[in-house]
Amino acid sequence: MASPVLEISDLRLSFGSREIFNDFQLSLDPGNHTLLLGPSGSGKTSLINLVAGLLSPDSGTITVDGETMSGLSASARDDLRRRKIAVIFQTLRLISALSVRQNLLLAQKLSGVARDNDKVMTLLEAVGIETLADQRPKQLSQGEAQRAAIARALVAEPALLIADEPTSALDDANAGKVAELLLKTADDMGATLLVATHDARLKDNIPAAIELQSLETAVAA
Amino acid sequence: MLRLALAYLRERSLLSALNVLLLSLAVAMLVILLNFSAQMSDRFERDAQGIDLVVGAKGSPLQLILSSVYHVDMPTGNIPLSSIDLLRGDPAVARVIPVALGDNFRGFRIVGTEESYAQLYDAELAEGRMFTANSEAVLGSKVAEETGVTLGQQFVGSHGLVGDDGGAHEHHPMETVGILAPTGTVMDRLILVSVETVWDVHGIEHDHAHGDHDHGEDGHSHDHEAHDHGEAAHSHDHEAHDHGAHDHEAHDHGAHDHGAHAHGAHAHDDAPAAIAEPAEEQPMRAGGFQRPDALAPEVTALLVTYRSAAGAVRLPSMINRQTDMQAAVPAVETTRLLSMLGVGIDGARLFGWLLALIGGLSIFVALLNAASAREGELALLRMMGANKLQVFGTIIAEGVIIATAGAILGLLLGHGLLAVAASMFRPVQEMGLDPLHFEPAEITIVLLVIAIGVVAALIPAWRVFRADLTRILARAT
Repeated sequence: MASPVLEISDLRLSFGSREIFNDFQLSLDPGNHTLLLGPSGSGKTSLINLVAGLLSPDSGTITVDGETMSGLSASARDDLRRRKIAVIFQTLRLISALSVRQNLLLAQKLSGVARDNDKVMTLLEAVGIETLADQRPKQLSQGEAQRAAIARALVAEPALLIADEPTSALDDANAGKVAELLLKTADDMGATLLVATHDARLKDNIPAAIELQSLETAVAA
Repeated sequence: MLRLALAYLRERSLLSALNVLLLSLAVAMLVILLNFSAQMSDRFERDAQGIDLVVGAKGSPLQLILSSVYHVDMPTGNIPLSSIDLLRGDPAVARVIPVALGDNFRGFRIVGTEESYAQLYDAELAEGRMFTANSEAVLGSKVAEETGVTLGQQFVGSHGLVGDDGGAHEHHPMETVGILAPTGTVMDRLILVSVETVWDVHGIEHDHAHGDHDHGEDGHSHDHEAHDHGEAAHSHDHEAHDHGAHDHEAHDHGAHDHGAHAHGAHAHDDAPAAIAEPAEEQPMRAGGFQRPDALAPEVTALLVTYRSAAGAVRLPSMINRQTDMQAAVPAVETTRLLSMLGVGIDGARLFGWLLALIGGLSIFVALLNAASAREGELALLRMMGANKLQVFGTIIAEGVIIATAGAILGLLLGHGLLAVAASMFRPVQEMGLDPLHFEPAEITIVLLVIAIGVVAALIPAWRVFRADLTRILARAT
C-alpha cells in the first residue's frame, strides 16, 4: 500500500492558554478526497497553516508525501510547500496584475515545474475557461475566478491540494460546479484533496469528512 | 519576478509614470548643470591655453577676458597700436597676439589678428591656406559648417559682434582662403582675418608697419625697414581694396556705406575705438570719426604669453599702474567667474538633488501603499512557492525599475534640452556646449538615483519580508 500523502501524528497546538489541537491525528492516502468540516474558529485554518508549513506545531509530526515538516527550517518548509502543496483560497485567487495565463505560468515557475504554455491551456480548457486565458482576474466572474484558481493550483502538479472555503462565496449552482471540478481535476492530476469548509453543501460531492468540533480532537465522520 | 514587478507597475501605470517623470526631471536638471559647469570649465581652460595675460582698454577685467579670449562679451574698448611694440620689447614676453574685433558674419566674430593666433590653439588648416593679404579670411570649422561658406567664396561681414543689426560692409567682401580643422576651442567659431583687414573695413587709415609684427613669435627680429611700406605701399594697398578714399581728411563714410551703422547714435563705432564695440560706459572719443587723430589704427586687446615667470610678477602691475591700459589674467578672472557662477550652480544642483529625493519619497509612498494594498497577493505568491527573498525582490525591483527608467529618461531629457538650448540660444552656442558630450559623473548621478529607488523600496519590501503570512492570509481570505 502506498504511503499517505498527508500524515499528522500527535499534533498539539496552542495559542497562549487556548488549545487548538491536542493529539490530533490525520492520514490521507494518495488520491483521497476529504472534507475538513467545522464552524468558524474550529481550527480549520490553523490546520491548513500547519500543513502548509506556515505554522509550527507545539509538538507532533506532519509528513507530506514522505517528507516530514516538523523540525524543518522556514526556508526548507517553503521549499517543501513549493514542491508538494497547492492551496486554493476563498477569495485570494490570482495575482491581479497578471492575466490568467500568466498566473498559471508564474505558478509553474515558482513551483519549479517547467513553463509549458500548452499544459496551461489544457488545464484552462479542463476548467472551462480557456477563452479567458488572457483576461485579467478583475474581468472574471466569481465562478470563473475560482475555476482559474483551481487551474493555478493544479498547474504545479501538487501531491496535496488544499482548498480553504473554495465555495463559500459562490451560489449553489456555482458551488456545485466548482466542487465537481475540484474532484475531477484532482483525480485527473492524481492529487490528494483536502477541502476545509463550513459549507455543508459540499458533503454531497465529497462524502469523506473530518469534523473539527470543539477545537480539540477531530472526529472522523 | 522582474516580469511580475513590471506587471505591477503597469497595473498602476499613471502613478508609475508620474514617479518616473519626477525622477527624470531631477536627473535632467542635474545632467544639465553637470554638463554646463564641466564643459564651461573645460572650455574656459582650453580657450585660455597659452594666454598668460590679456592687455586691453581699462574697464572690467572679466569683460576684457570674456570678450578677447572667449568671445562672449563686448570689449572694453581699444588700445593703441604702439602697445604691441611696448610688450614685444619686454624681455619677459615670449609672444604677443593682437586681437581686433568689430564685425561678425552671421553671428560669428571676425577677428583681426595674426597667424600665431591660430597656432595658439594648434589649429590646422583643413582646406586652403592662412590669410596673407587684406580681405582674405580663414574660417573656423564651425563657421564653415554652419554658414555653408566654402573655399573661394566671398562673404560680407556686418558691423557689431552679435548679428546683422549693425549693417553690412557691402563694399568690403572677404574671400575665404582657408578653413580650419576642428579644435574644440573658441577658434572653431571665429573668422580670422588680418588686423589690417579690420581697419580697412572700418575705413581706418594705417600704414603697413604693423605687418612686420605678423610673422614671428617674439616680434623682435623683424626688419621694420623691409616691411615698412610707407605711404606708397599704403596707397597701393588701399587701391587694391578700393580704399582709395581712405584719407583721414576726406574719410568719406558715405562712400563706405557706413550710414547703415547708425553713426549718429554710435559715433564711436566707426572710430578706431569702435573696431571693437566698447562697453557702454566707455567714453566716446572726442570728435569721433571726424577727428583724424581718432582714426589712428588700434587693436582691441593683446594676448600675451610670458617667456619667464618674471613676467607674471612685473608685467600686470606695470601695465595697470603705468599705462592707460589694463592687464587681466585669464586664470584669475575665469576662476572668479566660475566661483560666482558656482554659487548659482550649487544652489540649482541642491535643488536637483532635492527633486530626486522628493522622487524617492514619492516612490516610497507609492510602494508602501501598493505593498499594503496587495499584501494578500504577496502572501499568495508565498503560497505559490515564492520565498521571502523573491517577494522582497519584487518590491525592490519595482523601486529599481522606476528609478532606472527615471534616470535613463532624465539623461535623454537633459541632453535633449541641452541640444535644444544649443540650437536656440546664441550664448549657449558661443559657449560651444556639446549636447552629446557625456560626462563620466553622469554615471554617478544615475547610480545615486537608482540607489534612491532602492532605498525608497527598502522599507515597504522589508515590511513584506517580515510580515506574518498566517495573519495576512487570515485577513485576506
